[in-house]
Amino acid sequence: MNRVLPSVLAAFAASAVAWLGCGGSSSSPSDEKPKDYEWQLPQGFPVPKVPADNPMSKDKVDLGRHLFYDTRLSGNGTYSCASCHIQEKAFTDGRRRALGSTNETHPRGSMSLTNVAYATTLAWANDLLTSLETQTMVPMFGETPIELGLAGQEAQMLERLRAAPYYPPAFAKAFPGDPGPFTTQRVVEAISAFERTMISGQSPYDRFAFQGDNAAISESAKRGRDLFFSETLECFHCHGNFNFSDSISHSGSAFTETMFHNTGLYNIDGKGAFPSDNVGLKEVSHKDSDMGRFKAPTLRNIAVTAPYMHDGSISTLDEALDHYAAGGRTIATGPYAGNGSKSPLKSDLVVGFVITAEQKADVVHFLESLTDNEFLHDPRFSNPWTAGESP
Amino acid sequence: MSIAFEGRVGSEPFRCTQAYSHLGTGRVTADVLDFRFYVHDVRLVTRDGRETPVTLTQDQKWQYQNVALLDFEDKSGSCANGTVDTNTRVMGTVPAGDYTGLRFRLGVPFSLNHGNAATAPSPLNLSGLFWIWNAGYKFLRVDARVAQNTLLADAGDAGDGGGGEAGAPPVFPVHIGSTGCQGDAKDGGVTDCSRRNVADIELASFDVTKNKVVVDYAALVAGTELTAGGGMGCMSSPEDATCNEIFARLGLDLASGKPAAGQAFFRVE
Repeated sequence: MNRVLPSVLAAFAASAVAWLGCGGSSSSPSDEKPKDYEWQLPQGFPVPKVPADNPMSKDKVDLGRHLFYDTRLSGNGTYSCASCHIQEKAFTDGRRRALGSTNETHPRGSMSLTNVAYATTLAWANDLLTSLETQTMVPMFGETPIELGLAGQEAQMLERLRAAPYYPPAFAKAFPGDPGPFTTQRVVEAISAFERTMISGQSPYDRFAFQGDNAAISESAKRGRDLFFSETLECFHCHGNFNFSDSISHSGSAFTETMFHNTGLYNIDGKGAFPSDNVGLKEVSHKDSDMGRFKAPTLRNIAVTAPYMHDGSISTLDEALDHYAAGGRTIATGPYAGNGSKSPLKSDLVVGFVITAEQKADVVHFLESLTDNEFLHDPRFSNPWTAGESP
Repeated sequence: MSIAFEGRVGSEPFRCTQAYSHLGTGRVTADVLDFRFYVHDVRLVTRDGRETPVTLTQDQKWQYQNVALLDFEDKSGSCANGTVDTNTRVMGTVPAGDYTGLRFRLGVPFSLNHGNAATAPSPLNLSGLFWIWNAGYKFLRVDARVAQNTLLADAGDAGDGGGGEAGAPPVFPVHIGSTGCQGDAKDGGVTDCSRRNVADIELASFDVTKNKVVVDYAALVAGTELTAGGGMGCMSSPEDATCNEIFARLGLDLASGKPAAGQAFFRVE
């Protein structure tokens, strides 16, 4: 309830209400510029790049968080973004392949949203999705497969939001000066702003590498780190840099790198073919050379995002290492039989290596040291809806 | 000046509340779930073969710049995800003349196809026609759900060929749009598409005051088995053999995405 006179409220809208964070009950637009968002970045982390037309603000992030966890954002009211992106699993879902709101199985697994602010490409294999604002519309409106199932239902979705008591003041605060903020674009902008805040950089490895705490990870993990960054294992070519992915950019980047790789997971016909429902970047580009090329996702929090690969076809980190040690996966029988290590389309960095059981354990310990428990339980990223106001 | 269009399934007018029989090579019965398409670059042709562009009325709804959306579904019956409004004409102006033919392109022009669909003006902001993962629009969307009782006896046992989970009626979507698009990694824009899949439609002998353009779904799928495609129908992939006959009837070459002769989807009455 608005207990402040409108004229008084207008004067205080940006300062008092934004500062208090919870007192906003006006749904009239404010002309005040929202405060800049304060990143609170981990040690050693660059400032993310933010689109000029979707600047960050605390109010926008708050709104995006509510939208991210709101099942009003699905056609049948059963699903939210969080249905496939669960915080404790670093915003993956633990499934081999994602399951949409209408029970349709996605060909690929839900990607981790860890540090998505730094990603230059935002799906497993689509070089056209280069901004979160664009990507967000795929789960919302995509129909092959259906994820949130909102195609043709954006008016109903916006009406549901408008009717929920939380949203009118929240949209007004997030988009001051906009008299009609209940649009698809504003929804997308708020969710994207929230996703940009999902930054993980407080893992034991970060304390070791960036914060000078030599005891933060085990000796085994340190040996694993050295192996990971060695020319023997070659892991770092695709999973190097602070984010352990080669398709990143940030506010200091002069170039934008967008990389996709064929890691020899399949070689069905001896010419490098992947299963027809997962041909990688070729699905979008139609280029034969893009067969089986997928993004190298961040390895941050990788220990909690099993199963692995775009199709969840590898269950454990141990098996993932076996795959790379063999220089590609051999599938003996069945429709996908073939020797991936002999794929002509395989990345020239997936050459295979010899590794002892102990070394393998070391690398796994290193990968486990990338788990950021603070991120996985940070209340800033959790479901904001309390039981009483639950959507 | 108004150019009339009519949605048709064979000889019958299209309605969302009616099932149509004898569709495709399997002669199946199906409900149509959606029936919409964009046209652009509409031209009238004079008796001596010269083209005159139609200047489209900017109505803030169905027409924007030189693009118009034709919409035969009214969200009733089987068309649950569409819009209540329909549009069966292109409105515009041309200089007076002796016009005897009609030409237009099926699709959205490249310059408008790759912008931000969420902020684009109507009619380029209908989410049912977004094709975000391909960075453009579904130029033509016409989906059908095949009635179970008209399927061949063994169609349901043919693994993935039946289209989805056991018991789910097979849906045969036709989604035509540009594919093979290349992005500019830095700016995020699309620089080109290797298959634009924009059809050039020419209807000779068209009198705008007397004739209408009949748009016939039965003709579109006449050479296609509607239970094929594993529920994916034809989504414009050059490697999808299911698209062969569909593309031929749209006047498109599946391999190149370039216009080809012999379209059968549009006719004059």
